[in-house]
Amino acid sequence: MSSRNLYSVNTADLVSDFTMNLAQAAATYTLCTAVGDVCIWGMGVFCTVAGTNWTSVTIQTNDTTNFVFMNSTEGARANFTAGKNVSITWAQVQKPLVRSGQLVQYTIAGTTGVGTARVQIYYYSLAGGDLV
Amino acid sequence: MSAVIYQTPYGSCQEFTANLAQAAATYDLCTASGDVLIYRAGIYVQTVGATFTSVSIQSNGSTAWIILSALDGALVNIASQRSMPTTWSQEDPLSLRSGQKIQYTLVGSTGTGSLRVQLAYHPLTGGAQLT
Repeated sequence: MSSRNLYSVNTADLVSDFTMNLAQAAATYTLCTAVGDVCIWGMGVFCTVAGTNWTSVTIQTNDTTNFVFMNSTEGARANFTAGKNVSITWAQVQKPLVRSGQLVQYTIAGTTGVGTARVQIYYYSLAGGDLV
Repeated sequence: MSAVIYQTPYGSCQEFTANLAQAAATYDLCTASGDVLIYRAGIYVQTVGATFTSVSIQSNGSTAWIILSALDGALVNIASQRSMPTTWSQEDPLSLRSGQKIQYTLVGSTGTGSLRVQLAYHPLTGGAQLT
């Protein structure tokens, strides 16, 4: 026995662009919030202001078993050069579901420095869900 | 040799729930109503698993297409709020002909748990969808 929900038939994939402020103290910050459920299938990270001082940044959901989009090795400061895409090795066999009210967050480790990155998230809307 | 050109709309995404609180057997997750090409899948643990041994997800073609193997779907991997990796590499799409199914197979004792499975696909014939 299974149940079925029908979503987003014949609609385009969605993409939203968020800004990650890396000029903050070491802590976890919210990148975006799911308003309704969404299924994320892709992510791009682009550095607009080069990083200094801090050690690394990670991007993940706040689920109990969280899903990590970018780990601390990929998010090492040395990889944040202005005008460059940051390579992430998120295995495409995982398409995380972000339930309504859940967050995509980023965690800065190390000393407060500077830096900015834009994060593009590609996703499907389930029952009108969105990222804000 | 001839080719049929399908002018497909953008991908559709549908979500299905696999009920893992059932006896060991194979159950239907969805059926293709018209031909579809599945190109992405997501699996999310809605309710943590208990007691059963494993769950697998596959097509019912004569050569089954494995979306989640019993190894990857072992009970220990059905953890709370986890987005699970598929066994399927998701590099090659899965063609599901009209009437064919995606099924899930439970092994072991009856327990609890549920999965939310998102399938993104292109319809290859007018109005084709997963139901």
